[in-house]
This record gives sequence, structure tokens and C-alpha cells, in this order.
Amino acid sequence: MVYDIILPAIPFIGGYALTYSLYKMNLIKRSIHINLWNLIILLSFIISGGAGFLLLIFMELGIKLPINQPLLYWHVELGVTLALVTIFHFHIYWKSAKTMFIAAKRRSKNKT
Amino acid sequence: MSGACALSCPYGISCTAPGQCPRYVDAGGDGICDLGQPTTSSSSAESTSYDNDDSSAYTPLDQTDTSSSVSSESVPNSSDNISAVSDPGNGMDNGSIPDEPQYFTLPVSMLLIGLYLITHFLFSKGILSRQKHRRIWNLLITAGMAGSGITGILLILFINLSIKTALNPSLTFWHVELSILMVIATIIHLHLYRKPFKNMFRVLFGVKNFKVSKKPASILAVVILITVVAVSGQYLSSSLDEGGKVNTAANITSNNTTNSNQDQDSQETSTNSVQSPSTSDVQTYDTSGDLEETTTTTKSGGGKGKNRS
Repeated sequence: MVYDIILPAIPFIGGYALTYSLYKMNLIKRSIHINLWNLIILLSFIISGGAGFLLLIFMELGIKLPINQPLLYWHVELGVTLALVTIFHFHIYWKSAKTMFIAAKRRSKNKT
Repeated sequence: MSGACALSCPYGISCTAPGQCPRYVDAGGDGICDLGQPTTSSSSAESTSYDNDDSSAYTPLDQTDTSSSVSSESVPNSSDNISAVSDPGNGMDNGSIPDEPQYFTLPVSMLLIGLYLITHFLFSKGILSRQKHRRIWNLLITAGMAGSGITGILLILFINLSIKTALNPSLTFWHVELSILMVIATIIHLHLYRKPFKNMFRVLFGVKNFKVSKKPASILAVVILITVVAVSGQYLSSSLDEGGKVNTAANITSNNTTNSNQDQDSQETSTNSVQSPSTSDVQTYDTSGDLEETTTTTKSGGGKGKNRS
């Protein structure tokens, strides 16, 4: 079984480009664009992270279940999605994310 | 058949080439992972049938030497060759469960939760500013996401392209450890940004009153609850391991039905032990949020006021 990387990424890239362009054209609110992608990253995290955590616990407990195979598959596929949507998340919050890496500028200067 | 899979593959699956995980081994060249391959000749109903089957799949050398009479003395030699051929990194021997690297799930989780409690305490006392508090945890979640993502993509590429390197076990190890960091840091991230998180449901679904409960709950109590569940899970895993050792090579072929029953029992126990941490995580998020809300209301002149000034 070969894992697809490009195929599950294409609809998300297209979807992000669509909502971003809709937001830029003032057809949707910025909050809808942001919260929609926050919801998508939450769902992909729940499925991918949850499946990975379950697999880890099953492995440590030595439990073999028939759902392990689909669990592993969807863990990987949604992990790819999660990695991609994380990049979108950084893009959305880039202004505040910049201060995380670069030394934070004094906000008092901006306020004054 | 399922017993053989249960012994070798940590997931209990028999996958085809190029495999579903970095542990894929195909010494036989039949396109099916040897770790999850069912027994090929189950005619010998002796207790050594598992070792003989795997040795036939992995090492034809011993079989040619002892082709006429496979004595019980030849079995350990063949199993030694199994460990030499099939998985040199993991050191599988005697058909038992391959030596998985110890994943530090519980220590890393406890360490991160403890660290968050410390930083949250420092923040609430005004020693640590809100910006620095968030920055620390944003850096940690970024490290976890980046590490987990990069190692995960590398693992996918290695699996898809059937690349076998000496880095594979360590890559898997760091993928797991960084993923634990990512999961815990994400839950903390949700707690740190719980107001926008609640706002998300209001914006998207129009849910205005997203209030879970207003009872002030102690973070310590939730942590103790998680610890109790985790310790019971560890205790359960150790008891399962002790029970699992009985079911190794000697009893696999003769006790398939008992193994399946034990697996069902372990499934039931595992669902109990697995679901409870997830619910406790939710409780951690919700109740600790309520706690902080209460602390911020009671200590309005405390940490936040100091930090802002």
C-alpha cells in the first residue's frame, strides 16, 4: 500500500486558495475564513493525533485489533493534511507568529 | 494464523509491498511483510511450529542443512537467523514480540503537563507575562509540529520508496516522541486560546452559549485523575505483557482460540483504558479553563494587572 501525499493535499490547497480569494474579494468575512480553517485543523488533528495516540497505546499494551490497519492509514493521510493545514495556520497568523521567532518588539512603542 | 501476526507485527496486520510502516520486512520476496505473514505450513501441530514456519520463510540455509530431520535443537539456530536476517535493528528473537523501542509516553506527557502548570502558576502570579507564557508554548507546539511533520513525511517517503536505512528506527522513535509533544502542546494551545476557540463555534455555527460548566474544578484534581488512569493503564499493560508471554511461540498454534478470547478481553480493557484519558483530557481543558476564569476574576489585581502595567 502506497500512501498518497499529493492527492489528499490538492483539495485543501484549492480550498484554501478559494476561501482566501473570497476573503480578499470581500465576499466572506475574515473571521469566517480564519475560523473555517481553524475548524479544519482541529478536525484533522483530532483524527490524525487521536489515531496515532490510539495506535501508540495499542502497541504499548500489545493489543491487535482489526481496525489497526485503517487507523494507521487514516493517521498517515490526515497527518499529511494536518501538516499542510498547519502551514496555512502559520500563514493566517503570520503577524503574531513572527514575534515568536524574531525578538518581540516593544508593544508600548506601537501603543504610544 | 492470527497468532503469528499477533506475535510479530506490532499492529497485527499483514501488509503488502511497500508496506504500511517502516518495519516492513520481506526477506521471502513474496511481496507480503514477513512480520505479519501467516504460517505457511501449519501441518505440524507441535509447539515449535511457529519457529519452523518463520525459519522456512526467512532462512533457507538451516532448512537445507537439516532438511530431513528438523530436530528441536535446530530451532534455536533458525530463530537466531531470523533475528539476523529479518530485523537487525529490532533484534527479534525466538519469535517473540520484536523489541520495540520504549516510547516515553507517560513521562513526556507528565513533564509537559507539569511544565505547563508551572508556567501557568508563574503567569497567574505575575512573574511571567502573558506574551512570554504564550510564546513559550507556541514555540513548543511549533517544535512538536515541525519535528513530527518532518519525520512523518520522511517516513512516508521511506515507506513509499522502500528505502531502508539505519535511521528508520530512530526516525520512528522521534516521530512518536515529537508527536506526543505536539498532542500535549496542542491541548495546552487550545487552553491558552480558549476564547477564540469558543468564538470559532459561535462564528461558524452560531452557538452563542458555549459554556460547559461553571463549577470551579482544581487542575490538581484533574492531573491526579489523569495520573491514576495512566498508572492503571501502565499496570494493565504490564499485566497484559505478563499474560502475553505465556502466549508466545510455544502456545500459538495450539491456543488460537484462547488467544482470540484474550484479545477480545484486552480489547474491552483497552477501550476502557484508552477512552478514559481522552475524556480526562477534555476535562482538563474545560475545567482548567473554568478555574482560570475564576482565578482571573478573583485576582484581578494579580498577574494580569501586573503584566499589563
